[in-house]
Amino acid sequence: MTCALRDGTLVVDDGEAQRIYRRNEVTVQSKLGNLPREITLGNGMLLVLPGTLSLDKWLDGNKGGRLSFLESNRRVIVGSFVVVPLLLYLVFGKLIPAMALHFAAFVPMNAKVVASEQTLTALDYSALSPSELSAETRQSISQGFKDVLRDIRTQHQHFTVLFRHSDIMGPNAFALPDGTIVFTDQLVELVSQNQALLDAIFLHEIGHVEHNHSMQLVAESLFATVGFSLLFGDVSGAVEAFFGVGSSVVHNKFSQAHEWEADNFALTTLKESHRDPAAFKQAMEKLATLMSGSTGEEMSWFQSHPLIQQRIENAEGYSSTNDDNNTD
Amino acid sequence: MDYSQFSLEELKQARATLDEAAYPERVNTLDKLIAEAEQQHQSLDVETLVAESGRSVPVKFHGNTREFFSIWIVNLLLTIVTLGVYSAWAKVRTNRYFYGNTEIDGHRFSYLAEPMQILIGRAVAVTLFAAYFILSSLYPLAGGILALVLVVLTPFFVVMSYRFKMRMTAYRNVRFRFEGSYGRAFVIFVLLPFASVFTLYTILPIVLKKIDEFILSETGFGDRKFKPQLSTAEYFGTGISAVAIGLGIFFAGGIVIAILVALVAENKEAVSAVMMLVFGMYLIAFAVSSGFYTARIRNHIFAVTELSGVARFESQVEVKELIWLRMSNVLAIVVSLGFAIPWVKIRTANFYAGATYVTISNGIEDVVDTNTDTQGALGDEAATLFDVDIALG
Repeated sequence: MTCALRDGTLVVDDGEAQRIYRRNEVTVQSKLGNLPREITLGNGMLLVLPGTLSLDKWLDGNKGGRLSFLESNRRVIVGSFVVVPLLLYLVFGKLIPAMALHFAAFVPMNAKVVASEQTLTALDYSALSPSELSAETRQSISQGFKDVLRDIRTQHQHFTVLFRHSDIMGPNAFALPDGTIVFTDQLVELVSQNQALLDAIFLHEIGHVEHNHSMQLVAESLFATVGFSLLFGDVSGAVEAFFGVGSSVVHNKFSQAHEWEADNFALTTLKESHRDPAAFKQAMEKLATLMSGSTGEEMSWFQSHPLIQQRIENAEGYSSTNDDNNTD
Repeated sequence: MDYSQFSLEELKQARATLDEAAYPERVNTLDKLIAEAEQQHQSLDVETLVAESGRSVPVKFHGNTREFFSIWIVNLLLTIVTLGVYSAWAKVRTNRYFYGNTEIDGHRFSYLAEPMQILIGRAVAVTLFAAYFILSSLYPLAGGILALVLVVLTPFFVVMSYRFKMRMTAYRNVRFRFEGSYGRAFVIFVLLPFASVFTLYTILPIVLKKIDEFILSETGFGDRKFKPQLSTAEYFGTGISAVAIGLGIFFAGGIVIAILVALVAENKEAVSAVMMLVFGMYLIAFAVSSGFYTARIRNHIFAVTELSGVARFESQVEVKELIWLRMSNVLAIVVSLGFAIPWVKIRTANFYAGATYVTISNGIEDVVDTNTDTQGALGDEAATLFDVDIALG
């Protein structure tokens, strides 16, 4: 069988008969690398021919395969080397957090309430038990928090403070998206029930609620996971394990960014409500002492948090600007 | 004496009864004739063998890193710029590149999927995944119920995905096909693994064997089907050895790490460095034991599977080489911050192609003729609503 291009047609000669095909009588997939061209003839026959210049020109026209052009253009390839990492940074570092912010704002309040209730129920069932602090202690701490709330302005209207005992979590505090903030007995004891320190931590948690962080994190994780899958999902086997690590690194970066935001919220509001930002620094230092002698369980709480030393330094920054103001 | 008309047997007999001292020149003649006859005999044997069982040919892979790197990075660029939409086109181009560069017996594979089919599948997958993700993060209780629904749906997706993948693969203008039923898939992918939990995973090798058997025996090429004759003993032996190897590495590594921790217990930074070692050891144990399993089971499957009347297969993956391939792949990707991915993919394709042989018998011509003529194998078959691959990757 012989094939030839003649007068803008493809002439296929199988020894017995000659058939002539015009370009619009055959279909072909776009050019890709140096793959032979697979030409489907009208009758379902498949013709596989090496992609010579003249055949490519006949099949793809003068403009050539546009994708194939991109893929064989040296400038495009070298440019991509620079542009792709930059774009990846923009997408995962900027675009996804920005989209997450908008997404989080769309979640209606009652959805957040149901979500918080279910999360708390699940935690109460698994990791938390009733607080063992005395009613007076809880009462006085809560009163302190009410004073804080009176002194600051928040978008979120209702904050509820709960106390729980938890051996699993250790010294910990966390905020649920509906404004419920949970302190563990262990944390209260760690700061020796010091109200100023508890206020600072309380404001940090309020920062999470104000910035809608839990909803943002859901959206960020979702977008990042989908993004990773679409971009690198075809990388198989052991390599996939690496990208598992990759997406959890991205996830950790997001939650670290949230911690910084919450820290700065706490430090700013402390200052605005005429409280000493140093209290926040002291609370961090208390936590830092825990870490130095830490093993396993206590460590785990801090893993998504930025390096505690950096947070202490950040807090010092607020304290010193405060001092400057005083001396001025 | 003229021996030229003697057969090999007669020559040998004559040689044995010959008086060597009396006729030394006859000894020489006989020895020479016997050697010639034996050689001829052997080559005849080989020829009849080839005629009966077909010709054994290597699998050739023609792709190269340079070319694929360009395709890959343009894919990445356009996927990012189009916020993921182009990923469907990217997948088609990538698959076309790898299929089209894989050659057996002078013919290459084709990947026939249209980007639109992939795009629809991805849209469905992203929607389902997002719904599941959001619901399970917001409402843990609803998420639990949804997880159960997904378990029931998974075999359905698996069957659809295989069906799509096979239908989109062709060799010599004949499509592959997959005809596994949902019910059977539910048993294989849900019930059996679930049951194996209650046997403390002791029947896991059987489950893995059943999965491989299901996928292979339901796969066909044209009007022929694959016939695997997998051995349960092989799966048990390989599975147990793989676990033993993994545990062995953990045990040996654990001792080394325990000693290290004891030595550097004072120094906090050193301790966290040792923790990194633990993670590294976990990766190594996983790579070695999974590499061992994959190589052994692949070789086994290829050795005992036949495409009835068309082809037999042989895989010669060396355990050591596969482990090295995988570990160096991960290392290369990490060190190159991902830029080595195209190299890794080409190299892996080369590795598997180089370790694979196919013995093709003339029966393939019948398959190619009948299937091309009757159905127009590559012709447009009605695309159904479910002719999509619901997958993110």
